[in-house]
Amino acid sequence: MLEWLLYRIALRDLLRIRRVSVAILLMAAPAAIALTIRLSSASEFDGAAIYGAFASLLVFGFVLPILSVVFCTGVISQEMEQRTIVYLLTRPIARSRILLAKFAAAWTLVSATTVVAIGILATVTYEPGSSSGQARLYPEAIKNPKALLEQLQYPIDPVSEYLRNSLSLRSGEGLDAWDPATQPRRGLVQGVINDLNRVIERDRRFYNADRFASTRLPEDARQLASERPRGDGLATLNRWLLEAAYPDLLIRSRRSMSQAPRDMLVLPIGALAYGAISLLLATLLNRALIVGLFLAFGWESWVSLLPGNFKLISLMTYLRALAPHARPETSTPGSMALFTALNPESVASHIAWIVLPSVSVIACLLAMAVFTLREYAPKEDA
Amino acid sequence: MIGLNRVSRWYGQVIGVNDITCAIQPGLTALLGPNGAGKSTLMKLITGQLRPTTGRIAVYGEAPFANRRVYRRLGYCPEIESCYEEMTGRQFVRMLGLMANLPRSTVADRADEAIAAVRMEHAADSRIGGYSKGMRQRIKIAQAILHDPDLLVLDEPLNGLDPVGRREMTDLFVQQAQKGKTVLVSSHILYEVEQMTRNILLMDRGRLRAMGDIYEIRALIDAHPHRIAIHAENSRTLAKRLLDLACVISARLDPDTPDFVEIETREPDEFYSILPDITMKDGFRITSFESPDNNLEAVFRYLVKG
Repeated sequence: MLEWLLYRIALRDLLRIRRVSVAILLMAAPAAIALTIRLSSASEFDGAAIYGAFASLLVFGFVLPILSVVFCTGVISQEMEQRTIVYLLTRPIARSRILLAKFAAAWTLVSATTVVAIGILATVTYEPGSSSGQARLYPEAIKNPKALLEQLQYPIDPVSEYLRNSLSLRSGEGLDAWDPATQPRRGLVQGVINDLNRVIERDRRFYNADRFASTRLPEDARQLASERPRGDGLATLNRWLLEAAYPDLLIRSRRSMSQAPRDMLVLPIGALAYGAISLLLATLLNRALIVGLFLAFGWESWVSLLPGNFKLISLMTYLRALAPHARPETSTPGSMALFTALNPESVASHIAWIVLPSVSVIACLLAMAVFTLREYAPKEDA
Repeated sequence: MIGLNRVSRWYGQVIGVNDITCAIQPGLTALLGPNGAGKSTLMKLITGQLRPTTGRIAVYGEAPFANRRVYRRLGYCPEIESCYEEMTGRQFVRMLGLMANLPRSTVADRADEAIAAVRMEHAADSRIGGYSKGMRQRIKIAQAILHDPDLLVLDEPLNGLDPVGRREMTDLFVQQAQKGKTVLVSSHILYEVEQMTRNILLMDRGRLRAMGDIYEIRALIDAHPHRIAIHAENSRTLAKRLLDLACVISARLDPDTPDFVEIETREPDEFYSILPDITMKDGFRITSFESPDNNLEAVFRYLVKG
């Protein structure tokens, strides 16, 4: 099949050492930085937080868009610069087939690079022996059981109050009888943990926007809450809510290895969407790379932070809906924190599942139409 | 086979080809013109890379722009030097053979035949990135003839070739034309064209200035005074001797260059045949001579100024 031939030729061209070395460098950078942090501060290293931050900011926010823009605009601009496009366009093949085959090669490279990037990042940030995504609460996940029981004994915030009311009769009575000046009995702690696990695993009413209004919820928890999950998803949500409500008392469940497979699925979809837009730009503009980079790092960075519905015209909004990450608190400093506060809602993931493929298909079809109709004649040597 | 009817092509405010009407029949036709005359634009229009701004082009009865039916019958050798630098010549030719819809089972043999036809067997498995300009021309010609097209459009295919290479490729084009194919070759060198064909299209500044038999056009040129610059000892005596010839109209000496004389003649062929006799008989030592008018630009000057 001719497309397969074109695909292989384009992929081989992309895999030339000079070009692929840039991709490899970008692919390894997030993991390399994470590893450096891990080696330099082994005792304080929080793999889950580093994974979330790097996956969100570096892989999704930087490596994915830059590789998509560079390689997918290169589908045409490379041929124009090398002036080899005349050989392709004077052959009895539909121009759209040429374009799609070359785009598929670029998409394969971007997808593979970003998937490997997230894979090695997850490996580097993985901490063995952690609860690794399990939602259930175990005694070792509670840093300070006494402080937790104190919060529940005389609740002063809506979350603690709700949890206090959700405790079993026996745990409630035990808590009432407990003197905070003494260490709590092991049976009381285990009983409260059992009650909290019941909330974690079954309580669909635990999340309530008013109840968590004063709690700083990470982006992934907010996203998951908007989806009203059941089963394992509900347990994960409730565990994350607990961790957000008591950040100093509970050890955060490890999210890196549990999020990596989902991220690996979403990255090729992101590569398709960014790539298709880049391809369309390349068919329309002579300087598509510059415009593409502006879109990826100017438009995408800022528009999703603007209040109102501006975020709906950013691909990153939909990607974040499919792959939410808990970002570190320092990632939204100053004025950006204000924008985030004005714009707290995420797009539902099912909307993102519709929008991203639709944008990709529409952009590809438009690119094919433009490529079929437009003149691409490079200047001669003379 | 190829028909152009009042075809013009503008690049913004600049005109590439201007109101060209002509028909190109099977056989070898040379498209002549100096750099910037519009030859490449005309070839891009014929090969469907560009659309005419006004007018109509028909190649085998169809508009050629992005037309796969036309491309099935087209072999095109662009002027650009660059190829897929990382590929070997053989890979390049095979790839374009497959893209020309040659069956996979035959493409290797056809590629070998085309490579042999352009005498590139020795370098076919080397990277194109290491090719000389002449080798690039040969491999580009190979990919154009590989699928045995009815129409061959070759844009300055002899550029960068050595004299032997020029001769070999010229013979190849003539062979293709003798098979009944339509072969259109562009060049800015009159001498090259004279060795290939009598049938020419002459372009200048986007316009078609002349079309038809080259000898008829040369006759027009020969009626126009030709200048011939000669470097010789005793240039003053030589000038006086040459002025005695009936075919010489004038002679001019240059005070700054004592061994230089420039004559004007309406019959350059006769002058060239007499000159050796004069030099041998009268003992003039001519170190060099050349004709600034014996090139295509002079033809254009004549044709344009009228």
